[in-house]
Amino acid sequence: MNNWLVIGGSLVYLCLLFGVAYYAEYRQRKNKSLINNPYVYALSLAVYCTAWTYYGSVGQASTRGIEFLAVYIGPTITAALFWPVLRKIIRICKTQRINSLADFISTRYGKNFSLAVLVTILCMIGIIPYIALQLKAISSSMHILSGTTPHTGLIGILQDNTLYIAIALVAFIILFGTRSIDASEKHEGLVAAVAFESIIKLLAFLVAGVFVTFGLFNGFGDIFTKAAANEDLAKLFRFNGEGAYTTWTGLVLLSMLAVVFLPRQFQLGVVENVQENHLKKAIWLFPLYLFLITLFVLPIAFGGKLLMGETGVNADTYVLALPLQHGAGLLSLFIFIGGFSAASSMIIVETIAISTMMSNNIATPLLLTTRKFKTKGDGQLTNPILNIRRFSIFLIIALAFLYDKLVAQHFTLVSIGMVSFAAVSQLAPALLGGIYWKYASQKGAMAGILTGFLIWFYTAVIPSMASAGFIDMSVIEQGPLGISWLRPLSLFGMEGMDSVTHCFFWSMFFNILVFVTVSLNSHRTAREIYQSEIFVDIFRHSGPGDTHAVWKGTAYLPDLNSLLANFLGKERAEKIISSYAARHKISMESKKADPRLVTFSEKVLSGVIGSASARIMVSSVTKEEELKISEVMHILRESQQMIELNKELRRKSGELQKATEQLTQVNAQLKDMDEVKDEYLYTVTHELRTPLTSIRAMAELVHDNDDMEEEQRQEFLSGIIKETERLSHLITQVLNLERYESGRQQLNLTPVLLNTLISDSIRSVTGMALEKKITIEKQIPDSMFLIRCDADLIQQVMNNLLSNAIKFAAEKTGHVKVGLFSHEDELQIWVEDNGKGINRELHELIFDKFFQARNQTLKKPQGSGLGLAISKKIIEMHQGKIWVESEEGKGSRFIFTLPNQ
Amino acid sequence: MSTTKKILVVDDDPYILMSLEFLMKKNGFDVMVARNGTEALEIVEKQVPDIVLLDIMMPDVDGYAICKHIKSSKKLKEAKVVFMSAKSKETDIQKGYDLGASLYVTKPFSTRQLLKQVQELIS
Amino acid sequence: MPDRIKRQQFASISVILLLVFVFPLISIANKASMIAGIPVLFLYLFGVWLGAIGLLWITAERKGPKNNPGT
Repeated sequence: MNNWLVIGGSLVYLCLLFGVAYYAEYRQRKNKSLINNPYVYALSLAVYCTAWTYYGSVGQASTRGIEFLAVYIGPTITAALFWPVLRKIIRICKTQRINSLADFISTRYGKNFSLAVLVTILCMIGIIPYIALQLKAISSSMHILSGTTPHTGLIGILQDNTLYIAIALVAFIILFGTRSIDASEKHEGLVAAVAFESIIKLLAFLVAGVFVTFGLFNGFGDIFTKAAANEDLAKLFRFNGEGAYTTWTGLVLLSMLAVVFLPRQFQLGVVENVQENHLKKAIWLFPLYLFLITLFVLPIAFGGKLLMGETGVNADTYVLALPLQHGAGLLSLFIFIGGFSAASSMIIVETIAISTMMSNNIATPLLLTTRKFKTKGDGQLTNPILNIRRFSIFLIIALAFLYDKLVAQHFTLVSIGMVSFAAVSQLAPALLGGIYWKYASQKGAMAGILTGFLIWFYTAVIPSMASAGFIDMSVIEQGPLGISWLRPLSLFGMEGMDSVTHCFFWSMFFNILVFVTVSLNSHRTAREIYQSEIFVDIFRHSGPGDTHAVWKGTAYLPDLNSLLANFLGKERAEKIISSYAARHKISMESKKADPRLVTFSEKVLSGVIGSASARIMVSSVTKEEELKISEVMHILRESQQMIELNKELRRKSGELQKATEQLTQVNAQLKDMDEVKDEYLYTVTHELRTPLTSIRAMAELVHDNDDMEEEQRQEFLSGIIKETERLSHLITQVLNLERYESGRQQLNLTPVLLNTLISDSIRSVTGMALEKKITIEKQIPDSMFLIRCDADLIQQVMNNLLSNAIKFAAEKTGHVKVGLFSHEDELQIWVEDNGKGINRELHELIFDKFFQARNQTLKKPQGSGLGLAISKKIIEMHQGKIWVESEEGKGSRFIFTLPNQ
Repeated sequence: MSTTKKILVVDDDPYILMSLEFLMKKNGFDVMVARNGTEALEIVEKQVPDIVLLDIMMPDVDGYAICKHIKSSKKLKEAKVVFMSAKSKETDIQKGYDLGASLYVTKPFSTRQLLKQVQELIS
Repeated sequence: MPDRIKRQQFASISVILLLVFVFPLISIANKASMIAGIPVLFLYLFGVWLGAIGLLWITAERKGPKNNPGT
């Protein structure tokens, strides 16, 4: 492919990146941030996949099989811990305004300066080679496309494409990474660009995968089957030998740590995080991304080996070489762009992360100590500091470039990558220990990291230097000065591990050992103790903001103002202080500054120059008094108590509200019940008044009319008697119903022959039936129906239903039927009449006592006031059901069931 | 024009009906009886009573409806309506009078007093 | 705190995943055979991996159990 096409393509893509970044910053100014989005966050984490993933893993897979996958499984396992662990780290960063790994560790251990420097140097040494290899990957891929050979060494540098790419990247990073002096501000453009690149590289790799798997072969099965025929390849289908498992496990553990502790991962995962909730999506989206991007690695690796294995083409480049070889020109360009994205996003983010550390922890403190600045400046220091940052960016890329040209040809992408992983993992004990173990001390962290670093250097860097020819191989083979148990690749005689796992094991072992031992035996300063409390218990302390002031001394507002003004500019410094004061109701009247303001200013400054320097700066303009440990603890306890109290208050008020709601509800219910009771009383007395009326009327008439005819008098007198009976019957019913409802009625259960019971009932109403010329028919099967029930009560029910039926069946043509029906585990008894039936709406209501609610003036169509209500209660007490089937004009059938135990 | 006053007694309780029939007959009224609202409506179609003794709670058509019918009919509206009911709430009584009743008697009543009140009404 | 339960859920998932992906469990799948033309080990790893992602998705998106208010 034409070299100019390749360059042109790269330039176009770079412009696209700049465009995306600008657009994102534009959106942020309009308050419609592009990166405040969980998908963007998850995609930004995919910066984990660099040229190592894109090119290196294919090479690795073609020689070592599935081993490459370990580095993606590890992060998946870590993803599960995003919520408990990473969230804690993010919370700490936000409340303490931390903006880098070095800053985090240094702040945790009392804002210690030397720790910050150590971490920075470790990251530089560990990561710059890794950046260099990305540059190398870009350069090689460009050369593959254009069919030229890459340069080594510095000769002819001006013809080297890589130089210009590097310059473009420096420009990009400076433009979008150093907009603001406050490093804890988000880099919107940068993050957006990285997320964009994540999409591109995934797409491109998938395209390459599909091309190889389905274009050059017939699917996964085809590739593997063909590979199975090749002895070398078939070996790669499994783990071979015990060592394979160790290596695998080691890589998994290593990558579990790397996905958090690589500076670029920390930058995007922690510092640039906008909302903790975004973690929820990232927890599964990020592993899914890894899954997708590694899906085709093995097919491409094997496919490459099958098709090009003999040609000596570097397996790392199969992704590009295969499509290129098979004539897919434009496709290859796109795949190249994918690789470019993978490499450039890594370069961008790592550079920003490391340059922040460098400028905050090394360069700026140097500047501040050597330069005599007056505290009355207005943004005097803003530009110098920004320029330091920019210079650091340039320096890093320059160093990486040099490394690439001079050294990198000796190493593979993967091997350097793994060494970098091992380097940053040295920070894990100090950081993780710092957020879970209060007794972790600065001395312990320092000692641990130093130890780990040295061992890492000895077991990882020295061997690689030897294999590249910078050191004599005898050191590796026989050990330094011939001491065999100090051999860098088999320390203390541990054989059989690959170099990375070996390095990881020993460095971690001693790192943790020293860290714990020294921590337990060292004294902590008050500041350290304070920081440890805050860090470990962050969720208890990040209540209503950072209002606890752990600062004792005198400070003057103007001094603070001008201190901040030096860095932020007068206007911005004033605004930031006064808005904080307003939010926390601090008076700005007196010249003396409230301790909270001091703490806040220090936090703001640490975003600019790192916490160690900020600490120094603030103490230089204030008169600080040494806090006793007891005072520190006291303040901490107080603020903790406040937060607890607050929570309790909120909880109690929530409970109170619930209780009030419940009370209101119950009150309403009671009122309802009260009304119902009143209605009931009214109705009962109402029903009793009717017979009383007739009794009184008849008695008065008999009394007042001596001359009444005997027949008439007899009629009245017997009427009085009848009505008296009716009255007393009614009263009995009311009392019975009351007893049933209050639950005082006890069932007297005996085995009862239903046939007899029904016959008895029928007999008792026969008289009434004959009077009205109504026939009663029994439709009961022949068998014996024995059931446990209260004979008296059930008899009452039968009598009630029968008498109702008779009362309401038509005269002369009236017909009543009684039936029994056995159904599974219950018996059904029914009473049917051919009266005028009951309207469907009333089917339920007629079982209510007196049927009050709806119709105040209509009397119940069928059944006495209470008869059906009582029957219903009795049946329910027997765990049965009672209901009516009826339609107007078509008679009625009352049915009840009794369970058959 | 006969001076015997026609009285219609409507109540679904047979004993009350019987008692009132006896009482009114004994005291010179021309008595018509109805055991329910339907019967009452049939009767007022054919004859115009001077007084109607009206029970309220009845299974088919209630007393209020009958009163409304009477008071809205040209030929019947002169008839005096007397409600008899166990419903003793203020609202019920007021409703009765609002519908145009001349008297509202609560059950149980005294026959002697009822007679006196009825006689007062028609004089 | 309902949060505590979520944290424990995730912590236990990470332990499970760790066990599933290292020796000895992984050695079960270390066979020389193939299913549908794909080596068993590859199927195991990618399959379990996909399952793990599903598990993470469910745990992350599911709402925690209801707890007392005001926390």
